Amino acid sequence: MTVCSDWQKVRHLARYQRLMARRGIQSRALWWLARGVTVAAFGALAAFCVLVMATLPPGEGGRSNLLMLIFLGGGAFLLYLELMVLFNRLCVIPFDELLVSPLSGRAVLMERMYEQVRALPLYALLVIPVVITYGVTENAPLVFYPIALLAVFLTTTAIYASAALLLLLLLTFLKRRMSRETLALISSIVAALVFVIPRILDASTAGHGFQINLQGAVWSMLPMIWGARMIAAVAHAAPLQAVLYGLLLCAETVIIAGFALIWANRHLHDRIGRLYDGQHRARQKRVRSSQRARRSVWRVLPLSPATRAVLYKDWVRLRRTPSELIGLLFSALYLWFIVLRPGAGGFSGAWQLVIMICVVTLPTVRLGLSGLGLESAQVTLLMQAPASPGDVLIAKWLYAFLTAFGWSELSLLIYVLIIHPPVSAVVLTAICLLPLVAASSSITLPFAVYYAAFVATARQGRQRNIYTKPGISLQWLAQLPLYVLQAGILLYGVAPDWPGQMPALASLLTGSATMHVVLAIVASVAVAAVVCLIGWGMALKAWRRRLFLMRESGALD
Amino acid sequence: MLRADGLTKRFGDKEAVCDVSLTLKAGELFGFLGPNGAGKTTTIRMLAGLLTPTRGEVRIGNHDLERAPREAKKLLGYLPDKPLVYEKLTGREYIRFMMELYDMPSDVLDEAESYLHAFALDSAADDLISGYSHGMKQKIALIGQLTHRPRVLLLDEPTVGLDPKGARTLRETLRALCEQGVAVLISTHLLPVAEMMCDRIGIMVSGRMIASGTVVELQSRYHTDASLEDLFLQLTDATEGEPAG
Ligand SMILES: Nc1ncnc2c1ncn2[C@@H]1O[C@H](COP(=O)(O)OP(=O)(O)OP(=O)(O)O)[C@@H](O)[C@H]1O
Ligand SMILES: [Mg+2]
Repeated sequence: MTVCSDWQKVRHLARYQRLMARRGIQSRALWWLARGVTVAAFGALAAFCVLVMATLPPGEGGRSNLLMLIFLGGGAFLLYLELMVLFNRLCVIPFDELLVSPLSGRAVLMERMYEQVRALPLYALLVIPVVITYGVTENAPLVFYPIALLAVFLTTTAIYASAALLLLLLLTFLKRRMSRETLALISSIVAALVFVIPRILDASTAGHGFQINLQGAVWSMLPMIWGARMIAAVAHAAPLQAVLYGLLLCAETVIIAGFALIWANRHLHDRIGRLYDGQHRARQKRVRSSQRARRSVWRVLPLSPATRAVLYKDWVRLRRTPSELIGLLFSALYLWFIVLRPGAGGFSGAWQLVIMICVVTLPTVRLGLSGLGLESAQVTLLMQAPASPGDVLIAKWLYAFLTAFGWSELSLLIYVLIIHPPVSAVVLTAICLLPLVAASSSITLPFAVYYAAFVATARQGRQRNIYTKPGISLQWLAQLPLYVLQAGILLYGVAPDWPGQMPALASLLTGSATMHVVLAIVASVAVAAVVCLIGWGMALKAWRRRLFLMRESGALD
Repeated sequence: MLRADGLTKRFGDKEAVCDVSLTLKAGELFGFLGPNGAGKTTTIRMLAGLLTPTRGEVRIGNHDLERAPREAKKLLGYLPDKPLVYEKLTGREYIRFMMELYDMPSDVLDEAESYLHAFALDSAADDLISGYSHGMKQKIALIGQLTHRPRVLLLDEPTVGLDPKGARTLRETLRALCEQGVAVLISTHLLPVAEMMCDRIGIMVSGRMIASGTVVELQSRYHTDASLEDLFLQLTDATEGEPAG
């Protein structure tokens, strides 16, 4: 009875959420385009899996193993997504309005979980084609298909419930609200543990790369695989086993979800109240006001006073926002992964270098985006100050460029210390990073201006960077050609000193090593110059237009 | 010091401000009154260069706000109704930021210290602004505007959220600034305060300035010796009661 009335309230709240989300969307076309890119990426992944599945030889359980692997990978991804959404809605974004209203903890948890339903279609898009291919290649009976769909559905709900359970665990230990980046870190660690722990427990599965043998007993402990086991059992006419796994899934969902809802009813309010408390106390902590000792150094830079002030303020902010730096550290983790395991993923030598650079510099694009977006409503301070539009943009660009450049060079240094590549390659890379990062930050700039949301709406609360509108993901499309071009140039430059890297291109490589290096530098700078000019022109135009619109309408969006 | 002629602002087909003209002489404290939604904030934002007027022009000192925005804005201080501050800076850093943004010499820092002391913020000045209360943010934003020594100061409901002592300090500070020749415009709903401190008063209703002058002038114009509060209610009721047009 009460569950029903709670559910009614949840539906009611969800309607308002959707309404606000619709109002938050600026351009429907861009929104669809961004959605389309995501769906296409998942579609491509699904197609790839189907292709691999279809080409596997029959027998040996190879297909069943792949099926399980996809359930496992997809499940880990879904778990990650849901942890992100649910944790975000409960532990990151404040929602006092729900907490002060006479809603039960159960209703609050249900409301927050209701949001997660969005992740479901992506998971289905990935898994269902694979399941169908599996059925076709294994010559399964017709009854296989409805049961397989049921298995997919049960797996999804089981993962939902597990996410809720993990959230409860987290709420028990967490002392204050966390930032989005910490959240991303925790979620990805949880998702990675799904892969890692069984491998540690079960030494026999330690195969090469992704060729894990998932038939072992330890893997049976993972609910994500139960669905796949159930499907395989149906295909191989083992009804008893299928029913067993199905019941296991149901039981798991019911127990966990029931437990979560009961717990929420009892403890959710005071746990979340505690988070807010902790947050408040943490805010009170004193910091040392920066004294700006090296003022003279600053004066030397030929910048306008406004530019200098904004740039410095942004740096102080970055220093006090460790979460933004955690975002960069993520890429450093990948760096370790690539560097510490030579030949990982089949890459070595110069390729490894190029991948390393992309992995390290691409995430720094965020600095450029947040630099403008995090101004939020304070952007009017800059509008009322005697600063030209160019002053502000230069500050924002310098902030992104200098920070990203420093970060990339630092990463390169770590890489060099571990791998010891040829000296000329290192020098060339160190030089080429400058134009690359400069161009990358300039091309980010117009997007940052265009998509900065100076007033955060309910919908944007769910984005990683609060003050950036959803369409921002489009800017990756602009980065892609730049990175491909610069990577090609770099490979061309280091090729003579790193023979054997590109056998296919070997016939094209003539001339001395020095000539290669010089040509690469010239090309890299030229490409960057063109990109910078375009990026700058567009950014200035966009910024002027944005200021004009803000002055016309009085609204910051 | 400040001259606005025929300011009009339309939002879509809604006219928020209609043909408002006002002059602020150096050293004058002008009180801006009006019911909610009258268009006070909109007018002040136009004076501060944050909104483009649909018609009309603003001159600050000898500079046209539209044509020479940089020169005009150098003379201008504006405190919005919601304090705008950078949460990740400390109070002192924020003041320093404002000082550098307006390219002021560093001796204004001493002046800022005395303001911090006067507003009882000196103990919190090295804390992050994110931990400040609403009134403290209001104060630090105000000090930030004072540090660049504006010649024209526009304050939108600055007394909201200030404690009694802060409100008195604000009044004394504004008086002192006026004596130095700064022109101050302050919008408020506190009529006794306005009556006590302002040299001249403008009353705005539904986007129009229906009356302006000293309190005594207004009283004699409407043949009454009622307090400003009664006069205000009488005027606004009469105007709002009229059929639109
Ligand atoms: N950006 C905007 N877009 C559309 N209408 C607006 C905008 N800003 C203000 N308005 C409208 O203009 C009118 C005047 O608003 P304004 O904020 O200037 O009033 P105010 O006198 O400052 O009121 P208060 O005393 O409540 O602060 C209001 O009716 C408001 O709805
Ligand atoms: Mg107002």
